[in-house]
Parts: sequence; structure tokens; C-alpha cells
Amino acid sequence: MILGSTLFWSAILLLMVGISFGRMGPSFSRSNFSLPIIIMGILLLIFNNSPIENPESDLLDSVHGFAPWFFVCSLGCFLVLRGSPIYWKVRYPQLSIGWIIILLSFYLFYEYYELPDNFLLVSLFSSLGAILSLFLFILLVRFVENSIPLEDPAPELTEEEKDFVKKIISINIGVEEK
Amino acid sequence: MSSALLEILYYTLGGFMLTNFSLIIFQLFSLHPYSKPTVPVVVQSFLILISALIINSLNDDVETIVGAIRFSLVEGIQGILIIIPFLYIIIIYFLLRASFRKRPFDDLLDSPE
Repeated sequence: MILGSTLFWSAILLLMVGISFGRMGPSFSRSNFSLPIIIMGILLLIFNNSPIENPESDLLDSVHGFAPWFFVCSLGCFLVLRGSPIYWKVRYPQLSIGWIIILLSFYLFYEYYELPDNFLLVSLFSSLGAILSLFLFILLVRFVENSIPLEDPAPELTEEEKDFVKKIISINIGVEEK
Repeated sequence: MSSALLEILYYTLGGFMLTNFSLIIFQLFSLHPYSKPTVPVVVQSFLILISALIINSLNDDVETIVGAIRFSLVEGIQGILIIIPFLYIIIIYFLLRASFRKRPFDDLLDSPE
């Protein structure tokens, strides 16, 4: 594999790693690195000037047509979400700018992006493969989780632990501890 | 095998391998004390290898296993790039509904200061 193709796959790997780092839960402290890694992947994809061989060069052509409308549309969707009355009152500036940007993305889509002739076949069977993989993953995780023996119930808190919990709750709700 | 059937198989295996590959990366990079990724990662790697061997035996343009994996991942990513516009149409429909939605009165949020 030549350097350009290696860099291309490194960029894809960085994007996947960045998205994986963004998850919530016990590994949430890693989410701080999510955005920088995603940006690094995008920059590597954009500024990779080394020659790329097939099949990556065909894919890169598709990405070049896809990226303009995708990023513009994502920005528009983000602004519309910020402006919509979902959790707070309607914010007209964000809402109207968001919709203008989404309309602009439609223009970019028709101008730069070209769906292949067999797009139904590709989308249908790629989705089928992806769904099959997800289904197998769910089965595997279920198998592993079911094979772990249940742990004994946790012992009751000691007096010291109870005092500690009381102290934390009192601080959080702003009540003096008695 | 006819070329149409082969094409269908390539796209299906492409989506399959790309998702498996993404899930392996996800499990490895979001590792935490309570996760048990060994069995899923091993089985998924094995499935990727089998899929690559199938592609390698069916596609004359592909010479090595690495070539088969590259070819399938490209097919999978192209499939995703085609599906995303349709997903965005659904998202835009819900955004349209959210934009013109009237939020119900909330005693806490809407009460005068």
C-alpha cells in the first residue's frame, strides 16, 4: 500500500477513534480528546497530498462530493436544534440562519454530489450487511453478559460511609448538616 | 456467479466488514473496567477474516487479503455515504416539526422571575 492510501486509512481510523472516544459512561474522561482527534482525522483527509491508488481514490472522489453539503447541512441542523423550542424558548436568529444554511446545503448537494445509478442496490445491501453485523454484536455481548456469574449483594454501608454520604448530599442541596 | 449477484455480495460484505471494524475500534477505544470485549473482538476479527477470504476468492482484481479488506471497506463506506442523505431527509423532517412546535407551558421555566 502506498503512502497516500496509508494516510487515507489513518485518517479514517482517527475519525473512528475520535467518535469512539466521544461516548459517555465510565470512559467519559476520554471524551475530552474526541473532538481534537476527529479534527485531526478530517485535516489528514483534506491535506493528504500524496498520490492515492485505487480503490481509495474512487472513494476519495465520492468524499469530495459528499463533504461540502454534509458539513453545511450538519451545521444548519445544529443551529436549528439550538433555535427550536425543544428545551427552551424559540431563538429566531439561530432558527432562521439554520434553515437558510440547510437550504444552502440542498444547493451544494445538487451541485456537487452525484448519487450512483445503482444507489438503491448499494444502500439496501450495505445496510443489510451493517444490520447483520450489529445483530451479531448484540448476540455476542448478550452471550458474554449472561456467562458472567452474579455478584453477591453489596454489604451495608458502615457508619463512616453513611456520614460521608450525608455530608455530600447536605453540601449539594445546600442544607446545614445536623 | 453472475455479476449482479457478486455486486450484491460485495456490498453486503462491505457493510458487514465496515460495521464489524467500527465496532472493534469502538470496543477497544472505549474500554473501561466493566467492559468485556475479548470474545466479541475475537469473533468479529474472525468474521472479518472469513469475509475477506470470500472476497479474495471471488474477486479476480483483488490479490491479497489486505486488498480484499481495503476493497470491502471502500464498498462499505460508499454505502454509508449514499445512505446518509436519506437519513438527513428524516432528520430535517423532525427538525421542521420541532421548529414549528409550540412548547407546552412549564410552571418552572415560564414563571415570571
